[in-house]
Amino acid sequence: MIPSFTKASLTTMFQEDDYYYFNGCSFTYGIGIRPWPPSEEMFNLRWSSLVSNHYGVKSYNNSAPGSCNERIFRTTYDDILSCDKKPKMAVIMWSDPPRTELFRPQENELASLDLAQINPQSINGVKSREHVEALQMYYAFIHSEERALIRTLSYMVSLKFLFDSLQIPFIMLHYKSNFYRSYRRIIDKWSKQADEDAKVGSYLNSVKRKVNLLQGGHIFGLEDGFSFDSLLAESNIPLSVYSGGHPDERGHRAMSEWLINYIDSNNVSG
Amino acid sequence: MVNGCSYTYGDELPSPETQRWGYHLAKSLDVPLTCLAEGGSSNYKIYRDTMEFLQTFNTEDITYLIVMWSAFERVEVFDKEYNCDNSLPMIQMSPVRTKSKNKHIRKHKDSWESFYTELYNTHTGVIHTLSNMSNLAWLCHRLNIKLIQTWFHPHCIRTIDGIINRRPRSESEKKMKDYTRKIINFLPDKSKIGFLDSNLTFDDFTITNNYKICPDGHPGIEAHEAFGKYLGGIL
Repeated sequence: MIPSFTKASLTTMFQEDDYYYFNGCSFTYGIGIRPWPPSEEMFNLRWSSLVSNHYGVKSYNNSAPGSCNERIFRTTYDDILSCDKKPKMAVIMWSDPPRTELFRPQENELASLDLAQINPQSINGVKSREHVEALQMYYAFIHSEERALIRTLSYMVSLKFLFDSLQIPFIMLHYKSNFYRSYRRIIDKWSKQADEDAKVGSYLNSVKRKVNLLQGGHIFGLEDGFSFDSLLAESNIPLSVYSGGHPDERGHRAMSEWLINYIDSNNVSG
Repeated sequence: MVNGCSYTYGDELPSPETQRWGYHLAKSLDVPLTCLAEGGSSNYKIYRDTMEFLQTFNTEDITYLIVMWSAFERVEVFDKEYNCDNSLPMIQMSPVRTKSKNKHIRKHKDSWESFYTELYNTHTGVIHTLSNMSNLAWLCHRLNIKLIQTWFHPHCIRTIDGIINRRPRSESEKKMKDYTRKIINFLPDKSKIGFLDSNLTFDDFTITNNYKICPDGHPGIEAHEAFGKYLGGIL
């Protein structure tokens, strides 16, 4: 059970203060900075807090461990539309395209969530044997990289439109380079057939249209391999000893420094 | 532009292009019509196609947008072999289609049955659909596009009603109820046609007015024509 460090509704917070908005998965939540369970200290050391503190603004971080991109999209849209005072800037760190979410009240591991976040790696942690088998079959035979990619691209385009319309400066990036690798794999796999197969051609055209719509923004990890994870690898920063595969305090500091440097160099927050 | 499933496409009509409700509505408003509906569409497809349309075309040319949402249980899956005319190769799935003769579905019948039995449920579909409906309402308001959103069948309304009015048995169900109620309250009246007492879903409209229903359950020619005019009155 995640302790309920106050995540008041965005509609009631920040009536007077400037703030930045953040959303993502465990890499944005701060898992790995300190041992489980989450703590105030952990929240204060995550990259979103470091960036906000640097600029002297408050931080609203609605990330969730294990979050899928549908959840990131859904909650960001809901938050931004429902808040009275819009954020001064938003940073969205997308997660793995194959993740999905289901309404599963019987899964109590992350009771603070309204929908259980499902990803291929966490299936074995699911309690029910029947659900484990169902999820394995889902990922083996129903899920596809192609559907996951176009869904994530759709979410990215929709959020870009939201931020542009409301004139909220924003940055989008990915927690790992999985999205980029998936994109390249699909383009390489289907491009040869696109000329002869109209169905494949229409799918690739839809992907390319969405990628084109995302040009011109502060968006990373789309046609480049940059991500939080790749930054750690390039900087030789090891992963957390508290949680497998997650960045630690040094990693979060590096991510915040990269973002601050980018924001200042490109005048992102205006 | 209109979008939806078979009820919007005009399944079972002899000439869907000139007999569907969208055609009659466009005619009464004296505007050209783009119909993106396909039979069996899931709400994921309806939303994806609608957003792609809005993102691709000059929105200044779009005056009206009507979306008739379909069943919450429908989902979609990528299948290169899927025979489709205009859209992406995504099979639209639902619990009844697990008995389909489609190659992909037959091959993975056990997986689909397992998916619908153990994993997916209406509540997941409700959350996603309502979220998309609120996004669309905001977007069309922003783009100055007159929007109507409705559902094809009253069981969608009953599902939402049940979530809002049933006493929650757990914290998760309470969150579900709160979220559903919040979205419904957020939606303007023209984005919940059929939900309010003063108006009807297409299926309700057809039955209430005793219009003929086709053999597979879709509204007939007169129902489409009358419903097109009914929506015109709402607009």
